[in-house]
This record gives sequence, C-alpha cells and structure tokens, in this order.
Amino acid sequence: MRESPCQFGQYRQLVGIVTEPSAPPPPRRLACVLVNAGLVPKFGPFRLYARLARRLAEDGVLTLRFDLGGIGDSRQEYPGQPLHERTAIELGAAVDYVAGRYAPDGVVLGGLCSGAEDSFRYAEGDARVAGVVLIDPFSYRTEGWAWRHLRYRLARRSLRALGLYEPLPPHAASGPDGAAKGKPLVNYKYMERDESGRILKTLLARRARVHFVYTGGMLEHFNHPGQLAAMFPGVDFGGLVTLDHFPRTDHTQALEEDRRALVEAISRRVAAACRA
Amino acid sequence: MANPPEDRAPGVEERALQLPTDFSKTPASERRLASHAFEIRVPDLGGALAPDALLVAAFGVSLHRYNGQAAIPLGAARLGAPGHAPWARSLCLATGADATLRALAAQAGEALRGAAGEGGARAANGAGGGAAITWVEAAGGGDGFDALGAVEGAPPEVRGVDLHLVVAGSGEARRAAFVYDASLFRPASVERFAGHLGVLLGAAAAHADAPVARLPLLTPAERCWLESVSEGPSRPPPPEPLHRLVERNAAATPDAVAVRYRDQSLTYAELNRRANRLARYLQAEGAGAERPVAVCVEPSFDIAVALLAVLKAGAIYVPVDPTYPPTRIRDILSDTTPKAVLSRRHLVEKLDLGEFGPIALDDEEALAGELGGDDLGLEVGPGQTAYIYYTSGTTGKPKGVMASHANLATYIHVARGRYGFGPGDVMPAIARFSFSISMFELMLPLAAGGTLVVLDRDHVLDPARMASTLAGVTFFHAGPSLLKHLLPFIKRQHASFEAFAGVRHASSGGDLIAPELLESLKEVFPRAEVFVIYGCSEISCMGCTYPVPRDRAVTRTYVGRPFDNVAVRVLDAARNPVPAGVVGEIHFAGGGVVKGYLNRPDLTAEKFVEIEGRRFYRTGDVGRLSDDGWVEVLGRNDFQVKIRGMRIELGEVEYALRRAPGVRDGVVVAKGTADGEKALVAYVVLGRGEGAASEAERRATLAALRRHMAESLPDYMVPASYVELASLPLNHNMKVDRRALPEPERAGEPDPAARAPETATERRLAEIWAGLLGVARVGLDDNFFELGGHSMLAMDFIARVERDAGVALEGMEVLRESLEVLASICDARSGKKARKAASSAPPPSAEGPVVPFHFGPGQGLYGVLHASPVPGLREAALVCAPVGEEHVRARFVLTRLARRLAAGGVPTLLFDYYGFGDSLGESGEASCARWQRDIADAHRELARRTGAARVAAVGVRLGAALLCNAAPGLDLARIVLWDPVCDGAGHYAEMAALHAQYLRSMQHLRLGRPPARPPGGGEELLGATYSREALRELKALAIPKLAPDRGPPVRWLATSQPARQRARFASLCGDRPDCRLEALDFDCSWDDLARFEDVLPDVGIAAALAAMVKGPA
Repeated sequence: MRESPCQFGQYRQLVGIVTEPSAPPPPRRLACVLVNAGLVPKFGPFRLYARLARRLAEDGVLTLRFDLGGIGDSRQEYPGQPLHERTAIELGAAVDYVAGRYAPDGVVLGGLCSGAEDSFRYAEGDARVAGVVLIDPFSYRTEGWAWRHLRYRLARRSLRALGLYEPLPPHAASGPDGAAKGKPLVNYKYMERDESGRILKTLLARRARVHFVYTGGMLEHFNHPGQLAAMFPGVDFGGLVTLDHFPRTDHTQALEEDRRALVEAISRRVAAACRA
Repeated sequence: MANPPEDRAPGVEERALQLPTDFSKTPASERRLASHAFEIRVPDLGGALAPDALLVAAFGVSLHRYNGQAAIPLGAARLGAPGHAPWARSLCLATGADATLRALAAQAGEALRGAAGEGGARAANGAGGGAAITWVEAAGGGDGFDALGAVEGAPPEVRGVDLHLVVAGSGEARRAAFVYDASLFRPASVERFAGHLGVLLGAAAAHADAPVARLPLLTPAERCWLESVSEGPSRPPPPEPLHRLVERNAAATPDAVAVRYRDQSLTYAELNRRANRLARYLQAEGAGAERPVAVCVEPSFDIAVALLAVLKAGAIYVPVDPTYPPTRIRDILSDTTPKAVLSRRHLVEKLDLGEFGPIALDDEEALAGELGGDDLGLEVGPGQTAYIYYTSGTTGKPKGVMASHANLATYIHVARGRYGFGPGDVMPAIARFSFSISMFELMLPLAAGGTLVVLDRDHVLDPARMASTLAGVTFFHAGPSLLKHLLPFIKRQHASFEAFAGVRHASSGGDLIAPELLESLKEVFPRAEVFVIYGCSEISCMGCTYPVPRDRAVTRTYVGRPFDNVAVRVLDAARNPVPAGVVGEIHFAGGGVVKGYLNRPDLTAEKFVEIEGRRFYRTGDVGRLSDDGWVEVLGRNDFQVKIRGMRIELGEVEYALRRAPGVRDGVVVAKGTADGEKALVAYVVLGRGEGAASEAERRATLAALRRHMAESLPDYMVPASYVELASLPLNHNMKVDRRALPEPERAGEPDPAARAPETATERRLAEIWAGLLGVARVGLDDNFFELGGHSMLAMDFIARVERDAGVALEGMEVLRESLEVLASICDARSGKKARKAASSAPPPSAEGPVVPFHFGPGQGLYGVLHASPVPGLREAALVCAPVGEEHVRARFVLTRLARRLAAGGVPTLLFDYYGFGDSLGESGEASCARWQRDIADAHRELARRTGAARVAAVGVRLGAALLCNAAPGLDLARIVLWDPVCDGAGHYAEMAALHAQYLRSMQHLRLGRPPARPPGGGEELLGATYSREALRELKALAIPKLAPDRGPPVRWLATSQPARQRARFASLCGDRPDCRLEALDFDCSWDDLARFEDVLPDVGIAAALAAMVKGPA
C-alpha cells in the first residue's frame, strides 16, 4: 500500500490522497472515491475513510479520498455556483482524476451522511460511476418503522429508568456562567424522497450497484432492513441494491470495534462488486 | 431703561411654547396671517380673578391643556390708549399639577399690574413664535374690530407670535379675535381654540379652585362629535368560540382546502380531524382550561393543527418562536409553565425543551392515532383564556398578553365584518407566529372557510417568491418594512400588475406607514381595497382601520376609525379627551381588550385603566384626531420604539446589554439611519478592571458583546451599532441624558489586518454595505450580518445588487458569505464567470498555493504547507494541532488561520501527528514522545521548505503542551497557545469521564454490551486508542514554567474557562513581562460531549491567533 497526496481540479485547488494497493488488482478494477462527511476532512470521522482506503488497498482496490472545496485542505472555488453544482463540479474533477490517471473499469463513490448523498446525486449523471456506497443517507419513515419505533422508545425509556442509559445533554446556547457557546456550522437536511427515488431508478436502469449502510444513529428514521424496500415501493431493485444494517453502532462509529466492523462490511461489498 | 426680570413663577423652568399646530413649521414656511373673530364673556369675579388676569389665566390653561407643559410662556401687551403708554412684556404661568385658575390669575394679575405701572415696552417672548395676548381699545360697536390691524400695530416684541389673542373692550362681553399664522393652523382649529377659551371662562366662577387638569375645555358640540367618531359601530358579540366556526366549515365543506404549505394541501376535514385527535391527546396529557400549551414549531401544517388543537382542548395557546434565543424561550416557558410544548423532535433537542414536557409532532400519528377525530364539543367559556402572546417588556423579560376566547372571537369577527373575507379567499401567513397579528392571518381564513397559505421564513424574505405568492392570493397583510422592500422589487420586475389583479384586500400596519408606500400598494394591487390596520396585542390587534382612498393621492397616513365594538380615545395625561388636532395618548376599549399580563398584576393595573366605567388600554402611542375624525399615530410616549414594525421596549434591550460580560453600564436608543429607517444604537461603558485594557482586549470585548446580544435577544432587538463611552452623560437629575449621547460614528473600527476591496465589484458592494449599515470601512472578509445587517437590509442589498449588476443573490449567500465571495458570485453570474472558467491560469486568489506532502521518518507524516504569495519571506508559522477528536473540531479554524497567515506573508504548515488524520499509522502505536518528535520534524520540514529565518509556533490544547515541551529543542521566535492543556493527568481524567459519558449515551444501542478493550493494556478514549505508554506519558505531561530570562515570548488565547486559564497563565508565565493572555468570550466547550462532533466555527479565533503570531513582541 502506498499513499500519496495529490492535487487536481481546474485550479488544482482540490487536495486528496490516493491509496494505491500493492496487492494484485481484482478481476474488475474498480476505484473508490470517498466524499467528505459534513465538514470533516478527507480522513473521515474518526479516520473512517483513511482506514477504509487502506483496507480496500489490501483487496487491490485504489481509493482517492479528497476534500471538497472549503473543507480541509481544499480551497473553495466556483463561488458563483450553488453548493450542489459546486459539489458536482468537484466530484466530477475527482472522478476525472482517477479515471484519467488510473483507468479503472469503473468508479465507486461513497461517503457518510452528506458524503453519501453528494455521491448519490453525482452518480446520476456520470455513467463512469459503477456503484455507490451510502452510509446513513436519506431515509423515510414507513408504517413498519412507526411500530418498531414505539418498541424502541419503550426500551430506551426502560433503560433510562434503570439508570443504564443517559442521553447526551443537548447543545446549550450558553454555559452555566452565561458564556456564549458556538452553534453548529452545518445543519444538514437530507434529500427528499422524490429526488432519491428518481436517482435510484436512474442508477438501477444503468445497472449501477447501490449499497446502503444504516447505523443505529439513524434509528429515528430507519430501524429495520426491510424498511428499505418499503421506502421505495414499486422500485425493482433487481439484485443491485444491498444493505448492511448496524443498529448497535452510532452515526460516526466512534468506537474502534464499530469502525472495524463497518470497514470490513464495506470492503466485502466492494470486493464482491469487483468480482461481479 | 433696564429690562426687569421676566415674570416667572419661582421654580418654573421655561421652555419654548409648543402649540398644537396642524402643519409643521419649517424654514420654508411662509407666514400668512389670518384672523378668527369671536365674542367672549369675561366675568369679573373680583379679587385675584379680575377680568384681564382671568383672561390671561384661561388662555394659559387652554394652551396647557393642549401641550401639557408645566410652564406656559406668554407675551402680553396693551396698545396705546389716551393717557396710557403702551407696554409689552413676557410672563410665564406655572401650570403644574396643583395649579388652579385662581392661582394662575393671581400670577397674571401681578405681572400685568407691574407692566402697567412701569409703562413702556419690555421684552416679550413672542418675537419668533409662541403665543401672546394683546388688549386694544374698543373701536366702537359693530364689526369695526380690526384684529389684524391691531397686531400690525402691536409692539414688535409680540407682533411675530404664531397665535395671538387680541381682545377689545373692557366690560364682561368683549370682542376678541385669534390672529394666527395660517401656514400653521387650520381655521377650524382656531375656531375650536376660541370655543375652549369660552368654556374655561364660563367655568371660572364654579371651578376657580379646581386643578386646571379638571376644568372643562370642550364645547358641547365638540363632545358630541368626539363621541360620534370615537365609537365603532355596535354589533352583537360573537356567540361562540372561534374554533367552532372551523368545525362548522369542516362539516359543510370537508374537501375544501383549509391550509396550503409548499406544494401540499390540507382539507378542512383533515385539519379538523388532526386537530381533534391532537386535542384529545393534549387532554389526556392534562391540558385544559387555564392551562397553557406552548407551540414551538416552524412554518408547516403544524401551526394550524396545533393552534386549533389547543383551542379545542380548552387550553391556552402560547406561540414560541423557535428562532428566538434559547434564553428568551426559557423565559417564556418559565413564565407560562406550560402543561406541554408542542414541537418537533429536532427543535426539542436543539432548544433543550426536555424539562417542559415536549410533545414531538413528528410522532403525531403514533401519539394520537387511536384517538377519535370527531369534534370534542368541549364547553369553552368566553372568559376562558385562549392565548398568550409575548411582547417585549421593560423589565428585561418579555411580558405575556393574555386574551380570552371572547377576545379572540371578537378579533376575528370584527376583522371579517369589516373586510368581508369569504370562502373563496386565500390569505398567506406572513407575520411570525409569535406576533399577535399572525392570529389575523391564521384564523381569519380558517374561520371564514377560506384558505390559509403557510410560508417559510426564507420565502417571506425572498421578494421573488413573495411576488409569486401574492399573485395567487386574494387577501394579504404585511408590515411596512416588508412592503418597503417588496413593492419596489415588484415594480421593477413587472411591466404590468395584472398578475396581482386577484388581490382584493391589501393591508399594512404595525408601524408608521409612509404615504408613498400606500400609493405603491394601490399601484401594484390595482383591484385591491387598501387598508391601514392599527392595534396591538393588548386590544387583539383590531383597533382602528383606515380605508386608503383610491380617488386621490395619499399625503398623510391615518390609522382610521375604530372597528366594530371598539372605542378609541385620545386623552391627555389627566385622561381628559383632547380636542381634534391636539396630541394625546391613544386608549382603546371594547371587546378586544384582553385580560391583562400574565403574572404581572402591577403592570396590568398600570396599563388597563377604568375611565368612565369602561376598561381602557393605554397604548403608549401618541396621536391625534383629524378634523374628519381619523386617528393619526405620531409615535411613542415612552421608551418603547418600533423598529421595522417590531415593538421594542428599550428597557429589555438595555437589560441584556448590562448583563453582557465586560459591560459596566449602557443605554440603548433608536436613531435614524441613512436609509430613512430607525436602528438601535447601544452606548456602552466597558468594565476596565485593573489597569488599561489593550486594544485587542477592548475589541474582543466588543465582539463578545455583539455575540452576547445576538444570543440573548430576538434578531430585531439586537442593536445595529455600538458606541463605547468612558461614561454615560447625566442630566441635573443624575439620570442618563439621552439627548446628550453622541451620534454613532459612521466610521467603523479600522482593522489593520482587514483586506480592502480591490475589484470594481468588491468596491461597489462595499459601498452599498457602507450606505446600508452606516459603516465606513468594509473589508473583504467581512460578513453582512456581522457588521450589523439584518434580513430587511439584506433584502435591500439584494435588490440594489440586482438593480446595479443584474445579479440575483440569494439570502443564504448574503448570510453566509464574505464580501469577497459575494463579489465573486456577482462577477460569475454577470458573465465574468465564463472568462474565469475559460482561463487555465491559477485563480486570482490572495492566497498562495497549498502544497500537500508527506515527510518525516518513513515519510509517515502528512502535512500541508500554505505558502505565501509574498516573496522573500523571513518568517513562517507551524501549527501544532490538538490530538484526537479535538483536532477535527479545531481543524476548520486552524485552516483559516493558516490561510490568513499565508495571505499576510507568513507561510504556515499544518500537519497530522503519527497515527492521526492523514498521517500513517494507528493512534494506538503512538506516544507523547513520538508526537513531540513529529513537532520537531515538522519544524525542520517547514524551515527547509520555506527558508524562513524565524518560526513562530501555535499550539492548541494537547498540542500546546507537546509544543512547550518540544520548544527547547527548536529555535522559535514566538509561541502562541490556544486553550493549552497544562496538566496531562487532568486532561486524561477529563477525556475518560467524557468517554464514559459517551458510552452511557450509547447504551440504548449497545444494550449493555461493553466495548472491546484495546490489546496491550491501552485505552480507547473519544475515538482514538492510546497505548499504555502513551497514557503514562500523557499523565505525566505538563507545561513547564517559563524561565524568567530566556525562551521565546508566549501569547496565550483563552476561549474556555478564562478564570482557570488566567490562573495558569499567571503561574507559568507570570514572571515574564513579554508574555500576554487574551480571552475571547466564546466558549469552545472542549468538555461538552454534546459538541463532540461539532466543528468549531471561526468566531474571530483565527483572527486573534493570527494577530498573536504576527503582532509586536
């Protein structure tokens, strides 16, 4: 495995790191591009992306992790464009860079949260994208979710009553001394179902693979593997949609064992795609 | 001949006489004398009440009753008569609270006797305005009395007054005339003055010893007229609570659209069903009569469902704006102690509503799914409290206005009766839900079977979207501030206004409205009836309304006449009705007058008063009646002001100001701005503590003050500018003399580090900002809102940019982006984008290139050098980030620091420690010793790549401790520490506690399953693994005390626990005069696990650190 920094984009304003495998390439040479989760730089939440890139390299898969403009080391350009368009330009530059330099058989885009949705949105318009890995992306409550959620709430309350569970205190605007605290910079809003349904159909129509990962951090919106099909009734997944559900881990996998499990699961899915 | 002192009662402070003019006196006013002749009877009551003295006293009393002045200056003169020399002089009547006609006549008599005895002309006060009385000899019978001629012949000292009472004859019946400046008074007004004088003289015999405030003044005809214009038509009160009407509509037209939100609709049947189910749920939760239920929701169907549900449950609706600062929300909730808070889950978490019984409407279906959707049929009494709206309060806390169901029904009933809203009508809800006028917008359509359109806040503030919305409605009400921006936009964008022909009612209110605005309303909405609506929460908003005439231009804005079942009075300080044209305080009575203020009986008693057996509300607004009986509002009579239509108690703003850290004293006033609006200006005296504050400390305090105010008050109450004073000016009563406060400096604080606008676009945008915000200097990095802008000004800014450059900026862009970025957006959208995109040259950035690379042993470390565009550098900076998750939190700020330093000529290296970030290795493989070596390697690499002779290093948190320990081996020009970890053991304990807290918060997911232990005796803490060796080193790590005579100077930035940090600074650096600590009043909350994954915003931290790196030693 070898890591090397790179710069690309129209003004070389985007900074990334390519992790090249030393292992022999798989039958289908897919390359991965990992997209920032929120404002967390290219190494990912708790270095999830760095770990994933290195793990994928063990299977012979090359990975580019990079910072979108204005995040981490990349400079923000195209200020005249709305954020989604700006992101699309930059993701296009990343795919161009990987495709042009390493000539893979296809590109897999992926990320957590906003990184997942940015990947998904971009994939709709670029046929070079052979698959997407979406960690905790959009999700929509269904009837089944509501029933299960009641049980979940009951369990949570019971745990709390027993003193076994204590939610984090919510953000306060000021501390006990009245001193002001900051506000989160980003208040992320997930994709609407109309848009996600449309993109999903487009990807499936061109036989791209879509892999969903939902963690326990999404239980307020997603709480059962069967919910995925119910979220998109009438959409034929055609064996191209897969799902890993980790209801016992949190959104950013702050615990080492959770990260490890997630990395292993994703690498298995990518490896499977490389064999297909 | 020497002039004797003027005749002024002891202790009376004379001010210029204020006359109740109909027109303002301006330098351009051309004096035109006119006269009104009348007969008066001046009784001879003997003693002090001799006729001439009584006449002067009565004239003085009438003037006092017009203006309320405690001292009435008058000129007095007698024209020459056979055997008598003419005289003229000034006198001043003491018309204070205890004054009587007899006492005033005695004052006047003494003055007149003195004047007659001395003879000759003396100085009077009337040379340039004011009032005077002149006696002339009777010119025989008939109409031969030439008052104008008499004034022409009067001594020059009284000749030029604006209102001159000329009296002829000497018996009881006399001929008199008012000679007046017709450019100031209407004839009808002067005619009334004559009537008042007659009434006062007629009452003299019976009321000579009564306080002047209780003397009759109005003529019977005037009283009759006042009564006719002050009472709205009488209608039977509404027979049932308002929500019954909605239920009836649901039964009659179940499929009619009740509410629209975005592209979704809710029918009456569905709305009623959801509201019924939620009402039942609320009942089950204990909501009911006189029990408040707070509704804290964003615009959506939620507002209609929740409002109806609360009313149906018989509980009290308390709207709470989720955009308010949490402290204000808590004040409101603590005051009402609601039974429940209807909200959404994300708001409950964000606003920390847990303790107030939150009910998340996300779960509406699950919560109330099994409950019946049919009407509850609950009996609701008319006196039962229906809602509480909070308005700005003088004590620093908002006050809750409690209205009954009868008030609410009257509110909507009279509005519907006056404006004729029907089932086919569509009305948008434009006001914030926390303002009581929103009830008009929410309930009028629902009660009348029409359609309510709920709008997001950004929709309301977007002129293009609002224009599109208004093209699809039939009714709307909008405040003048919004219209002031919206109407010009529509006029620019539309060649014809046919698109708005469907609007049949357009109204405005809530603030003083310029006549031009009403003309624009008429123009843009050609088929609409245009109304002004005047009222306030305490009278259920519907006080008076003015139908703006279409057949003539509006030159003066009235608020009209009272609604049905409403009485309006314009009263003086003694609660006497004032004559038409005379200014008094506006009072209201009627079915809309609310119950009072929650938990404020004192204030309720003060503001709700009984007059002639009826309960009136004192609005605090001053106004007058026109000759036609229209009410005209002129302003406020207390410290309440209106800014952009929002009522603001200055006391509440001052309360927040005085509580701000570092502020010793302060006052707030409303000042006019360059754009003709008003804005709040805060004058502050900063607490100095011991010794003089540095400029950086002073600026940091002011910056912190701005943040404090922004977080303590709703946006519309946050002062737009701040003026620092050494002390507040006091008047002779030792009270703050607000008139002596200086004008706010138009020049902003010069920031030596600020980058000036360069391109034409940047300069143009900066120019617009300067004009709008009243600041002289705008830097490229400035943000519109941080400079004191607000949403309305942002709309104005957007409109101006569109007009100048043809570029449509978005509100969010103005909110988020700097001037530099906005200029780039303008350039890109106006066609320069193509030129830039086609270019292959590097972008025109002030920043130098960013160079990522690997370095160090085995090339395992990742670094990124922010190179400087400035050649020939001798200085560079190294940033030693925190270790672990704090690194991610601080990264945004540190990147901005690196960019700022590089742009200023200091190339800066950011790097990741081994096992962290983008460096190789795993956290569990590293140790403190390894990280210190990483710092040394990074230092070496920086020097090698830049050739800099001097390197300054910035250490953050644990990175600061590592840096200080590595520093002896490095040749550093300066060390800058940001919230350094001084004690490794304490830091470890803190991390361990937070990690345990995190694990507890995960138990609902992990269900008791403990996390796996790292191999080798290490420990997992907050997302990173620490080896046993690393933990041992960490626990032993400490920042060494600085040697008194060697080593680089230290600059220390505290953004958390300032007191603790000051103590540590003193113990570590106290012996070094070249070391300094500065504190920013922003708590980075390193120890707050809820902020574990938050990226720190740059609230001046990068600028402060950059100044420390580059500042003088």
